Amino acid sequence: MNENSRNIATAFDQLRSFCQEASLLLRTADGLLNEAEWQNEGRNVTSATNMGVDEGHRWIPFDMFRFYKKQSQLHLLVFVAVNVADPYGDSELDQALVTAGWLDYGQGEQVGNNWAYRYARLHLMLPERKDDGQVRITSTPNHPKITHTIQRAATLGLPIDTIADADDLKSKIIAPLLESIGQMGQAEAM
Amino acid sequence: MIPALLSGKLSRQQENMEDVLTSNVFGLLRYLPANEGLFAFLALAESADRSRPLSQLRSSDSVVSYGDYNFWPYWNDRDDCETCEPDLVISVKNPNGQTLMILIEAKYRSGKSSTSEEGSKEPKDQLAREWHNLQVRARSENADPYLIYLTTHIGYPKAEIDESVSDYQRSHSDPEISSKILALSWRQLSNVFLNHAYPVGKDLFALSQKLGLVYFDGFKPIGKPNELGWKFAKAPFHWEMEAPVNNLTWRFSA
Repeated sequence: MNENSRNIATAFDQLRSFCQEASLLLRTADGLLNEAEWQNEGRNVTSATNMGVDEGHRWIPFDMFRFYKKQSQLHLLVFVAVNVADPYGDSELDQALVTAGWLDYGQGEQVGNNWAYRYARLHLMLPERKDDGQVRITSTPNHPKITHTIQRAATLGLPIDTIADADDLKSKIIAPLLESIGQMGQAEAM
Repeated sequence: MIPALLSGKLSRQQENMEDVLTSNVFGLLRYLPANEGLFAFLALAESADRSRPLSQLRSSDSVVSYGDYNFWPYWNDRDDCETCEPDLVISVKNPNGQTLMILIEAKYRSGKSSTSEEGSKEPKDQLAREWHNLQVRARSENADPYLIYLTTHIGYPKAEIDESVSDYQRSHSDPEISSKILALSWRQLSNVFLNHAYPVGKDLFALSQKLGLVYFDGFKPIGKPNELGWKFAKAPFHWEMEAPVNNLTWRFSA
């Protein structure tokens, strides 16, 4: 068998396994966030893909994600994502990341349908991002791909291989995410 | 049935039948020492506050005999309860000699068969109906009732269980219900039977892997394939035809 032919088959097998693992990671995130009463929003897990015959570079996803809303905080949109590439080339992405964050539409406002799947790339859109697991809050995020009025946003991100299991996902991504939302809620209440 | 499933001999439809899964798993668990199988699995069921009340079974030496398993009992003999057919009811004794009556409602690729109905006097939600029946029966047998909602969930299925509790509490006062309706995931099979000593346990582990009933356990390392040297030539392609293509002479005539 030709070595390159074998490599191609192997690469696609590995890609499929990776997608299954990403699926489990995202469903684990669902479980953890559902427990905190954040409910899934939107059905897609990928975006920016295109199955057209002339769009081969878009056949494979750039990221996989889940969005969430909560009845008692309708001004917030939360996401968890696995980012493997940036379709728009806005940001340097030389390693796969697990990212999460929230977008605050402002007290009294509601997210409603005013959001887009590309916000799963919010961590990549923010200037001087750091993939160190720290939650960073940005006032009035400004990026051409953020087309709705957002008061502020927060993201965190870590290289994918630092998330070794469900406990890591909980302690390194979900817990800091929920903590930052809690702190924001306390600040608003004061 | 498990060898057939593991060897891919069942249709996708058969593989997806929750009754087949229930029968496979609990049928096999009967052949393992309770502490090595059934109790180890049930002990992981969680209540709303994430406690595991059935972990008490792990220290029990009681043997669950065939007669203690009641698959798909049809409960329609009480005027004060809505009819129901749970997947399995198991009676066991805890270390103090107290009988536990454990009802298991198993789901695989479907949700509850019924939900609450506005204006109904009695609970209509599937788990609420089953809890009502179970409680009445357990009381008459002086047993401690537990209902296990066994699904493929990864986190605790809070919304579904809260719905059932609310439906039940609309017509009945029961402060205990939240600590007695427990959630258990089929995915725990992959933890309980990992490196299991018994062949039956190994089969149950293989079953969990085959059906993807596993938890997120990190990303496997991706190997670096040799640099790909293969690519399609860019269009336009030039094919040399060996046979001449004749002009079409056929016309459609109205």
